[in-house]
Amino acid sequence: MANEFTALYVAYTIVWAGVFVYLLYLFMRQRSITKNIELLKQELSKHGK
Amino acid sequence: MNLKLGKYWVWFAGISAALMLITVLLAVYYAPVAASSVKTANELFPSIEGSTITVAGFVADREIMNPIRYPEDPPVTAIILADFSDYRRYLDAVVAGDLEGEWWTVEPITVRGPYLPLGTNVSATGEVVATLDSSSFMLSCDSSDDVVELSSPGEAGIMTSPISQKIFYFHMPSAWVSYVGFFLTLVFGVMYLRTRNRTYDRVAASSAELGVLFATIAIVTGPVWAKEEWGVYWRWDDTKLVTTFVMWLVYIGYLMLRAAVVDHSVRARISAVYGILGFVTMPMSLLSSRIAPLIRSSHPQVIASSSGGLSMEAGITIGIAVVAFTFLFITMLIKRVEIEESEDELEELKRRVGGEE
Amino acid sequence: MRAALTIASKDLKTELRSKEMISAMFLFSLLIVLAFRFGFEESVSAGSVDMPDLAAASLWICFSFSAIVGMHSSFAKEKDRETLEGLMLCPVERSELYLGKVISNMVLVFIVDVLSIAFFALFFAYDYGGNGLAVVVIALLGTVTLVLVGTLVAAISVNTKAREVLLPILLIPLIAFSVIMPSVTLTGDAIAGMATESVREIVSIAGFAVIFGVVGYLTADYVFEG
Repeated sequence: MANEFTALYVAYTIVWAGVFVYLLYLFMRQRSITKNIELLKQELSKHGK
Repeated sequence: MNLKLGKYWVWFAGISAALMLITVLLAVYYAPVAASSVKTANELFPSIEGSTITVAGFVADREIMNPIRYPEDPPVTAIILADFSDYRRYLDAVVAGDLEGEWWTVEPITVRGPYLPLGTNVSATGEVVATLDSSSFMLSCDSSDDVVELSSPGEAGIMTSPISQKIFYFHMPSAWVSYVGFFLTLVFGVMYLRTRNRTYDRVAASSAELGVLFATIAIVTGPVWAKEEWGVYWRWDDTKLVTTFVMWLVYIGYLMLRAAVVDHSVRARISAVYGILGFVTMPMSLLSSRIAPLIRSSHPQVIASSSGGLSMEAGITIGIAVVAFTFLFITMLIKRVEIEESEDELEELKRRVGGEE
Repeated sequence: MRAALTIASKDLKTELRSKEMISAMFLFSLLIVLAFRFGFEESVSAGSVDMPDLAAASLWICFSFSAIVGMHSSFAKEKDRETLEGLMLCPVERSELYLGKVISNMVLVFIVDVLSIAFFALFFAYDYGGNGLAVVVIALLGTVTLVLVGTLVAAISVNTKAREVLLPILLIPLIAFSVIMPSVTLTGDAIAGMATESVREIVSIAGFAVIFGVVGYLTADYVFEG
């Protein structure tokens, strides 16, 4: 019986790990992009004057 | 996102999280351990005479029979009657060991262990008409007045290994949203080509990426179940597995194609065309367990063509799971499209900064 | 259709002069057959290999990959010499342009197919069970579908950075089920002298030819642009 539960745990872990890793990746990407955008906007407003 | 869904993403996220929680609870505590009326082979054998299809653990199509077997079970010999005109006489003949009659065709097959010979082309499922001994039984597969022919492969019930069956409540919805994702890639690709609105291209790219994510989850969780049920992780003779794998490769290619083009209008244009072209692999994967008479597949057919297939409890759970995954998909799609938008904004800003300096 | 034929004949004429595509494709397929000969050396010599299976599989690997080489260079050449722009300035429909490319590629690929069938026979001392002609006919059938989809994908991948690498990555999953699998089965059946019985494979290859042809015809406007 323990064996069958192992398979279940493995599969559920894969599902949630997959989703969360991807979400984490999206979140990090989002953050770095917004940071870069802010930086560039500051640059632009400095030079714009 | 132009589609005005953007500001509601928190709602979608909340709904999907709640439904996911419900799905997990239902899958673990409520959904049946096995589809109704399906028992293990050992439980079944003493009393299978006269019963209908239950003997086959799951039957994916009319050609293949797959009783639930464990490695330690003795091999089973199933004797199949192609022409069933006088089964009583036939039965007596078989019990007497005389298989050389003229008025019937027999094809004995031997089934060993959990990994069953797929495509052993016996005309499969039928009514059990006799138990020959503890490990042999007899099926009829041609309808006559005496024997009621089995109406659908779904009658057999699906997924019978008690615990690992619960994997299905996450495996199948993942596959489902990946199909949705690839379909959206097609639709928004076509819409992009017609309107040249960049928002559509962003949605197409995002849904392809999410489709690949969920297809990956489905492809990885599938073998975990298959190892329990079939005894092997992967079967190259199962059409569904192979077509899904090919579909996954096509969309990996789609993502690589996008990554290999710098100019965004060229990228949007050619990837839309490839999205249209690649979509031919999606119906092949989706329908491969449905068009069973055409190609071989032992993949469980979830939505059976007639009654049967899933028990009510399993049906409710899988229904909620599908809705949960769909909401999760929408949430992720909204966020992914937003990222695509801000990336374009970043490109634009970079160009402006670069231009001024 | 006339414009398509004109474009195809222009392609074939330039090819006849330079012979660079066909010689590359031919050498490539020759090397694949050779690689199979070396790879299966022991079992072929011992006679322990299933020749119809080996022939069907290695011929189709040969056909697919040499077609990829040819279809890639048919666009890469035009792109590098900047003649693709010239072609697109021609007052012809883009779908005709696609068809023209399909026709010229089909001719070249089919010539190479026939040559590789001959070379396989030579290297393996194999007569295809006396059904060599059936094998050629099936090569033609599969090549039609292969080139219909391959030309479109080559036109797509030529716009990218890593185009030589990308074409097989994009194309092989698409042809795995539509061309390679049914054609290998068919070729095996043809060697056994019963190709006419495999109706399902023939219908499937022809069906995919129609699907890919229609998609290519309709999307040619978007592929050849700019």
